Amino acid sequence: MAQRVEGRRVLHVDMDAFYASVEMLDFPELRGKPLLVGSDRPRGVVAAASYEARKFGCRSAQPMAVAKRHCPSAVVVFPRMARYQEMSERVFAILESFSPLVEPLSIDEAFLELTGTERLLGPAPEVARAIKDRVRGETGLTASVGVAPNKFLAKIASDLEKPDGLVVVEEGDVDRVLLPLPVERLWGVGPKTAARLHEMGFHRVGDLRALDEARLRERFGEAGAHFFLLCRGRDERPVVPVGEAKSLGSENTFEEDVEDPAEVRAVLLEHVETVARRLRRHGLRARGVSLKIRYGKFETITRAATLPEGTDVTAALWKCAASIFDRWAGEGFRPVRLIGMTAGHIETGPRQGSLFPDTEERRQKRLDEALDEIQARFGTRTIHRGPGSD
Amino acid sequence: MKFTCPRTHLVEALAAVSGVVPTRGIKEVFESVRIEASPEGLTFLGTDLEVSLRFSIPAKGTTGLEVAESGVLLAPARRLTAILHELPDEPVTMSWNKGTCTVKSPSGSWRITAGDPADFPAIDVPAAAEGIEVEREVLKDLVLRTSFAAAREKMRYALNGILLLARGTELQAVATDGRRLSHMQASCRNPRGEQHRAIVPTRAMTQLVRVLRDDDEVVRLSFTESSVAASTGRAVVMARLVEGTFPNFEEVIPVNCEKKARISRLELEAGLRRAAVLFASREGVSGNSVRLKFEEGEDLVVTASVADVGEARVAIPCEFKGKGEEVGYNATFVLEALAVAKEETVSFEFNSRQSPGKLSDGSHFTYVVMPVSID
Repeated sequence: MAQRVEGRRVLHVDMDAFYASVEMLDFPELRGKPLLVGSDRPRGVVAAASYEARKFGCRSAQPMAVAKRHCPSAVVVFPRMARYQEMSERVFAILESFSPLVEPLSIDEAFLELTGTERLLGPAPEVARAIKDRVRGETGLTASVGVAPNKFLAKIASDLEKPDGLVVVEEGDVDRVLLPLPVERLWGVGPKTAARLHEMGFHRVGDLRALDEARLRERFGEAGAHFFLLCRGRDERPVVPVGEAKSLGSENTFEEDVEDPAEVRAVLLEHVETVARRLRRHGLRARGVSLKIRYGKFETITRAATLPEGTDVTAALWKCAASIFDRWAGEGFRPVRLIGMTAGHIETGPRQGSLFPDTEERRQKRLDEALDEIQARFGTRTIHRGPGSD
Repeated sequence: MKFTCPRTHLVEALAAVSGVVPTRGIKEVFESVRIEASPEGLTFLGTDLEVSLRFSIPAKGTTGLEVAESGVLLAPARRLTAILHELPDEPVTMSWNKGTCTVKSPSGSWRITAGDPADFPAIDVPAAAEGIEVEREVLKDLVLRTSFAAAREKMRYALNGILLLARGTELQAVATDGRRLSHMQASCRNPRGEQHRAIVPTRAMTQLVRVLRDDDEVVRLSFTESSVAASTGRAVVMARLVEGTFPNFEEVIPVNCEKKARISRLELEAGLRRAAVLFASREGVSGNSVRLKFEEGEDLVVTASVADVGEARVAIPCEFKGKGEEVGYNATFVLEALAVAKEETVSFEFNSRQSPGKLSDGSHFTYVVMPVSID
């Protein structure tokens, strides 16, 4: 845990209705219309709703059928994950040009640590403005940014004036901003904890201030101590950039169970490509490969393997991931709801040279470099490895 | 089948073959040791199908072995070892009857379920007449000074063994994991002028060294197309050769390098250890690399730095000739070589920070190590 730093400055950057905004960018005829991104099949859910659709009560994670009842005129489009991933990478490239301390939270959200960069970059609110301008200029998308003394407050702040917001929360604003919020907004308060808090008569963050730390600990354990600090606007968690992360992964949930192993395998290859590309961009190598597979009634398994040495070569990671997948599928494939790949045992720094350079590996490295360049210039959708890549 | 043998001999024979008996067999029969009794004595056999070890206790002489009835038995290796460990030194009688192995001694008796000897895999023991002969100490040295550099991972095929090259009276041993390479040269007796090029599983060689005894003067190595047998007076280690092509090692051993250093072996070892204290509990290349800065007329400076831990700088007296250069190495790779080098002074030479470095000690030991990239 980082020490408490005076004058700490953390930014939370959150893209506005990201998937829906990308769709409107690519298809101008959708602009201004209530738009739902997600599958329109039975059991489909809303992945993103445009602000126009939100006015009708639509929101993400809602069953599509419910959203359509709220807003029968909404346009429904099927998600194009690769395109969102590509736009996300452009946004992250912009963020990383401001600070090396960028912690991705998801495809469309990140923290930036700006503490101590004032001399170099100027005051944090100006940096926030510059980031918003560059994101809009280079991608055509809008982001909401919160500036605050810590991660928790920065995330609260970015949400206050969405979309296209820029909110600065200073130490002195904490009570005004925080106290009226529902307890659900505290980090770590999920539906179960929220229900318990409500039962105890605590509905707003301000209500929790009545309890001392010992009481909160008594009722919620370690999390209680954490709530004690959060409801006072205190949060000392550091911003952890991806380079220091212990693992790097990519996964997706299908709208429906996928019954064809080849289809799941093809999607897995895309995840491996994404992870490998990110490893290379950050100058990292992975020695561990693990797969996450969810099937049936939300049964989730992970299967892992270790490579003899760290690599960022797509083909090497894919070979490992494919063999894990094939072994699982061979033992008894079941329709898959979620598939994901995580690279672990991350290595950085010096790279051990090889006495007998593997000509195949060198060829693969050149292939990766070429693909990375094409994708950086024209987007990740433009070129992919085919299903016969192994 | 029935025999009586002093406990000490049984313990020794069992310890020798247990080295190759798998701990988790696919079938129970593989976790067993096969004991054959004949008027000549006992032969113990253990195998994991890749490496097998046969160990004999002769009936002649002072062994105290008495074979009452010839025959074959199987006994679960670990259980039998455990029983013998609990016994004082006394005669132990063993017999086998229809799936039960009986162990009897003045201190107690055990009846253990055992497999059928007919299910035990057949191991061909080659005729001992042919092959080359290597002195015990020479062979130990060959194995000790190469085996550590062999690849441990099974997936690096052809590298998880020691390459043995015999031509005339010259015997070479080479092991590499693709990042460093260890090479030893020795002489052997080769009465038939045989020529061999064989990759022997590292484990076969280390097991052989383990069972060598002072009265084993020479080890005979006999080769077939696909197997090797190494015999001493009492033991024979048999192994399937590793298939695949060993990389062209001669090409990567640098000769006549532009940069040459002469360093005290002990001082270099101590210096690297001092720098490497930062690496305790670190894994991987990044957590284990040191920089060696060579400069004419100056000490060799070893530096290490680990994020969030700190930095180390150690100076080591060194005679260096050539244009100064700073090179990164995995400290462990260099330390492992120094641990088996012998002479007081080692020479270290290289051409650039990207090319392999060669460490030699003037005693037929050559070690090549690839640098790690440094900026």
